[in-house]
Amino acid sequence: MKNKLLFFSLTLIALVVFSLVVTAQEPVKIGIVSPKSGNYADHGEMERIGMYLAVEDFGGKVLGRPIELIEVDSETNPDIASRRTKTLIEAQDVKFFLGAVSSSVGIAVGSVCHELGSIYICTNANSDTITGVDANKHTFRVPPNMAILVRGAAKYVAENLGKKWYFVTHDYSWGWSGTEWGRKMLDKVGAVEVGEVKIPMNTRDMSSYLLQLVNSGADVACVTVGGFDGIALYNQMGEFGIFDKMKVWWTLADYPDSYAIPPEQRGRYGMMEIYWKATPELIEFSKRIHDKYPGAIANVTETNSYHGWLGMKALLTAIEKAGTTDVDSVIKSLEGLIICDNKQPDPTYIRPWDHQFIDTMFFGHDIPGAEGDDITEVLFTAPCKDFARTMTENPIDLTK
Amino acid sequence: MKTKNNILQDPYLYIFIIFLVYPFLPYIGKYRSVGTELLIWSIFALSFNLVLGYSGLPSFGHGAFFGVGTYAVALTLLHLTSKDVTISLILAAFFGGLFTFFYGFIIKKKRGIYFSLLTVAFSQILYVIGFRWDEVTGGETGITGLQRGGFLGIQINNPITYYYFVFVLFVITLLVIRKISNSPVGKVLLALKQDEKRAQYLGFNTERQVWFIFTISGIFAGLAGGLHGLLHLSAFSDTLHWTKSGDVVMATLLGGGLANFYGPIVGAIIFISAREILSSFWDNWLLLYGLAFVVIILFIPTGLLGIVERIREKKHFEQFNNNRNNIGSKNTQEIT
Repeated sequence: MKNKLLFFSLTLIALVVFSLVVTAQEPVKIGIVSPKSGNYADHGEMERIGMYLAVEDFGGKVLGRPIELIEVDSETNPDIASRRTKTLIEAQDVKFFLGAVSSSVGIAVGSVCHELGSIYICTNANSDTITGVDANKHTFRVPPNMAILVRGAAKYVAENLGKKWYFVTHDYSWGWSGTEWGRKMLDKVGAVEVGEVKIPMNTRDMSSYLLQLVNSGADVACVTVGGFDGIALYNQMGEFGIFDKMKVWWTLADYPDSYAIPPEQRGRYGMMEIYWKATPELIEFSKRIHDKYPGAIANVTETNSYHGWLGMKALLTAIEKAGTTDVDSVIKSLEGLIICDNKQPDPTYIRPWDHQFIDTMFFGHDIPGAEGDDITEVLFTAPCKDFARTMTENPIDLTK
Repeated sequence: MKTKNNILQDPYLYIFIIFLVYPFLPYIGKYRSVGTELLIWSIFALSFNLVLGYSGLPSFGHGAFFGVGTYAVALTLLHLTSKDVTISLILAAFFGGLFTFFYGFIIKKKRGIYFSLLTVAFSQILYVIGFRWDEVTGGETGITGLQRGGFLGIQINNPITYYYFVFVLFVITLLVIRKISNSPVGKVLLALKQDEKRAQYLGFNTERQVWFIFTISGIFAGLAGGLHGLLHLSAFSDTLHWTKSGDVVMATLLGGGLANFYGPIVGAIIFISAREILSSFWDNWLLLYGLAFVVIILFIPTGLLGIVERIREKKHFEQFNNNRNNIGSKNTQEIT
């Protein structure tokens, strides 16, 4: 009897040890749904670089288990991104996802993850709805939304650049939301609207819109135009000498877009989500990117690479903190998480009630004629917490 | 009446069996949503082939009717009923048909490049509406957060149940479209494809036939779009974009829709699978994809089943020649 008991006990112990060993070696799979083709393929490349570097910071392991990154091309298409996310969950039981540059892809992936119970950290989409009407329990978002970006800059613009605003709007929901937030700020900062022009998607010749802008009598052009259209607009503003006639405020300014413009034609003001020289850590991070990925589209830390890095770091930190890969535990661990070693001047905080990352943004001015990588002068930094929507402004229920 | 041999030679049987057991197949069976997507794309490609393969009319705007179905489902679930998808699917097919009915009336007399351009223009009009009419379509960010609920009381929330639900609709669609293509209407369309003037001289109102088949095609494209919306529980304007139409053209041509009734199904399977496999291996997979398309158009314009058809025809011809020679030699022997 004693022998039997001993035998069963030993077998049981062996099984437990064996299963622990197997679990310890089993990789933690993280799906990266990022554009490798389509309109934002270059942005996708940068966000993936940021994610690789975050994994490297963790020594390629979390909870003592190797991290396996599984990449799929979102093609900047919500339809395809949904399908590939679903496939990873169904076939490979992936519980964690990061990525997305465009808002539509972010919302689609978030919706699939919510349906199938995986965590999704949206790394580079700014639409208000991701943490607004489309918010859900499983979706988190790293970059600031349009409300934060516009409200953070409006006061400074009215006081220092001018009070007569002319809106230049990319004619779809993201562009509209930038202009809408600008309009909401008019009374609060004592500015007035002198007109608006809407630029359709995929427009490259901006001459007719710029003529309207020149004749508007505005002090400030409030621009919410992105992607390649935004670069074309910026370039042609320089050619038309707009910067000599008025100030130009870009509600969301990305470093690679400024870098693409010939130095003598630069001159816009804009809210940046990250400034590569803000801290020694960010300068060091730029060096890492430059040394490790010399062919990358940006030499320095910019929005996509930084948010890719921060999103991955937040996820891995939360998994470590939770001590498990159980989705609900990791969600709890992410909610309210404070990341102090975020390379920024202030820590990053994840709001538990809307899953929005909150840190610092930078209002800058592209120095005309500046050569090299240092092309922007930062005029002030703005803490996102002061400008993010409150619970009253954005009443959402993440328990649904 | 079909003999046992005929039934065994019917590709329909094999397609039926493959899709029936798909979820239980080793390795690929766990890719359930891809399987469902294959069925949906097969319905879409079959509906498109009624216009391209049977009438010879190159519609480059069929994605729009697919997208109309997706939005019909999304809007119905959002505003009318969220518990049962029956009405939403009926409306998806109805609106797909309604749009093609009106649009078919406008373009039924157009042929060639004018027909193609008008279909592209129409799809882009719908795309812009979908992309910009935020209040209704959700604009860039689309409509999400839908619930699948049930169909006539049967719950289809589970991915496997939904797979078989789509499978049943696929089987019905396949039978209906096959019936239509084998009917007198189908024969008139083939005549139209070969020589429209001659078909008209024979007394057929080809414009009316084009209008009719375009509408039928739209009904099934709308249904496919509706099923697609239910699969992803969302609707995005990208489904209305002309590139979606380009995808179905490619799938149909790849499989051999111009040469064989089942070509679009084979094409849809290869199209979706190749896309998923290639994109997971190489970042620049679109290059290979584009090259494959060029090679197919240049060297095998009748698609993969076109090759099979050619081999089969060759065999038949050889058999016919052998038989003729045998009969000839027999006759010679008898004479001598």
